[in-house]
Amino acid sequence: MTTIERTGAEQARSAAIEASGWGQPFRLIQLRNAGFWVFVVGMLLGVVHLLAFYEPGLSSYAVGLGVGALAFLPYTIAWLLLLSYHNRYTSLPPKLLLVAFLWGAIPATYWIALQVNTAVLSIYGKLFGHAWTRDWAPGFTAPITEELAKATALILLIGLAPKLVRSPYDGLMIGAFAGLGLQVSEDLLYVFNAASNGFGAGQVGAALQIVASRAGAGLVQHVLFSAIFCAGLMWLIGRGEGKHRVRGLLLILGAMALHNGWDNTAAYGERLAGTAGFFLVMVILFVAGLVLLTITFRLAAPQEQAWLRAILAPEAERGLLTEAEVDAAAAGYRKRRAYRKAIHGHRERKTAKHVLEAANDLAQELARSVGRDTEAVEHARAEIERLRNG
Amino acid sequence: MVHTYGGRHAEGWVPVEQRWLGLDKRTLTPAIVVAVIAILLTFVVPLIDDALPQDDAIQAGQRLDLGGGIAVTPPTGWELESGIRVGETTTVPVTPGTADASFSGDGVSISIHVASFTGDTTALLDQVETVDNTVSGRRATVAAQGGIAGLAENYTGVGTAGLVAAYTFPQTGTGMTITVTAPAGQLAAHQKQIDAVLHSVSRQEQP
Repeated sequence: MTTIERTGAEQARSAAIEASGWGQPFRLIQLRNAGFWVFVVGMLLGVVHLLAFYEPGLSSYAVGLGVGALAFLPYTIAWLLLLSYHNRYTSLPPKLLLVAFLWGAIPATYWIALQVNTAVLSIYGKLFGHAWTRDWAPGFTAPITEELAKATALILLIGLAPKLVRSPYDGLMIGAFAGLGLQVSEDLLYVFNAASNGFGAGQVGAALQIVASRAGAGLVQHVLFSAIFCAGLMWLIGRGEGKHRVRGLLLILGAMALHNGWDNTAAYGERLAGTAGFFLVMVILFVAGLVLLTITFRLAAPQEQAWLRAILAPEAERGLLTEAEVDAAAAGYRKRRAYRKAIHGHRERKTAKHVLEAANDLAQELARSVGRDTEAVEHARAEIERLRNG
Repeated sequence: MVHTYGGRHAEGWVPVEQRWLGLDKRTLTPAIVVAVIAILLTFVVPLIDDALPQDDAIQAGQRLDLGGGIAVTPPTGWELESGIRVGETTTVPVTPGTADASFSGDGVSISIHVASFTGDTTALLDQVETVDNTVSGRRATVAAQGGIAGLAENYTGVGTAGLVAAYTFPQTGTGMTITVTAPAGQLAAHQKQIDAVLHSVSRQEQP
C-alpha cells in the first residue's frame, strides 16, 4: 500500500471542489425528493392555468399572439446566450438552469403571479379606493408577489440540488434564468392583452408596439430584479461565504424597490416633473438597476473566483500554468483582458487567450473527476501544453 | 466519491432514519417552504379578497370618467368595481384606455372599455362580433348625449344574456364598448337602468 502525500494546494483544491459542488451531476427526476413532487404539481397547475388563460381567446387573438411569440423568440435566444456567458467560474449545469427558466415561465407566472396579482389589486381597490389603486397599486403588488414567485425557483433548486446551489453567484444565475422565464411569459401575456384591448383590430401593430416597449425595458427588469433578489436571498439564508444577512436583506429590498419604481413609473414621473418626469424616472431606474446589478456581481464573484483559483493552483505547483495564468483564468472579464493586453505580440496574445480557455476546461474536468487524474484531466493538461508549444 | 452497493449507486440512497412516507426527510424543508409560499399566494390571498366586501356604492349624480372627456352615468346604488369618478383626484391623468370601468347591481354586470379605434359604430360592432361569436342579434341605435349615437346588439351565452353597445369618437380616434351581462331572463327586469346607462354617454371637448 502506498501513501500519496497531498500538498496543501491539493487539499485546498479538494475543499474547493467539495464546497462549490462543481462537477456534480444534476438530476431532476428524484422520486424520493419532496422538491421534485412540488415541481411536478407546480408545472401541472401552471399548464392548467396557462391553458385556462389563453384558450378562450386563442382563436380571436392568434395573429397578435403569433407575431409576439415570433418577435420575442430571437430576443429570448439573445438573453439565453448572454446569461450562459455569465454562467461561468464554477458554472451550473444547463439542465438546472432550464428548470429555473421553466419554473419562472410556467408555475411562477400562470399558477402564482397571475392569480395573486388579481386578488391583491382587488384588495387594494376595496381598501384604498380605485384612484389610488390605479396610480400606485401595481408597484406595491408585483415587487412582492412576483419576486416571491420567482424566488421559489431558487428554493426549489436548493432542495433538488443542495450540493450544486452553494454560492450567492449561483443564486444570481438561477434568479436570472427564473426571471427570464417570467419575463418571456409576461411579454406574451401583454401581447395577448394588447390584441384584445384594441377590440381585436390591428393585432400586428399592437403586438409589435408591446415588443418594442417590453424588449427595451426588459433589459433592466425581471432578469435583473430576480438576479439581485436571489443573490440576496442566498446571503440572507446563510448560503454564502461569511455572514452577510444584512447585505442579503438590503439587496432583496433593493430589487423590490427597483421593481416598485418600474411598475409605478408614470405615477412617480408625474409627482416628480409632470409628463416629462416619466422619462426622467425611467433613466434613473435604468442607471440604478445596472449599478445595483454590478455591485451584486462584484460581491458574489469573489467566492467563485477563489474556488476556481484553488482548483487550478496545484497546476502552477506542477509547472503546467504560471501563477499569473491561474489568477487570470480564475478572474472576471476585466482582469483576463488586462492580462492578455499586457502580453506583447499578436500571436503570443492569442496563445495566452487560448491557454486561459484551456485552463478553464481543465478546471471543469478536475471538478468532474473530483480532483483525480483521469483520462479527461490528462487530455485537458495535454491541450494546454499543445497550445503553449503550438 | 461514489460508492456502489451491488451495482447500485449510493447517490440517491436514503438512510432508513431519513425516510418519511418514502421521501427523504432532508428534502422536506425547501419543498414545504415553496408549497407554503404558493398556497399563501394562490389560495389564502384570494380568500382574503373574497372575504372583504365591495363597499363603494355609486351615489346619485356620480359619473365615471373614461378619459378624453368621455363620461358615463352608472345606476345609483350599484357597486363600483373599477373606474374613476369624474372629479376624483388621480396622480396619473385619466386618458382613454387607462380608466376602464365596471360596476354591478342585482346580479347584472356592466363593463366599459375604451381603446383606439378609427372606424364607425357598425365597424366596431362587426369587430366585436369577429372576436366574440356569441354576439349576434338585432342591432338598434342608441341616442346618447350631445348627438352621440351608439349601436347596440344583444347576445346570449350559456345561462347568460346581455348586450354590447358600441360608440365611436372620431375626434380622438377612440372607440368604446359597454358590455352588459345578466343571468338568463334577468335582462328585461333591469332594462330601464341599462338603457339609462347607454343613453348617459357624453363627451366634453378637452382643453
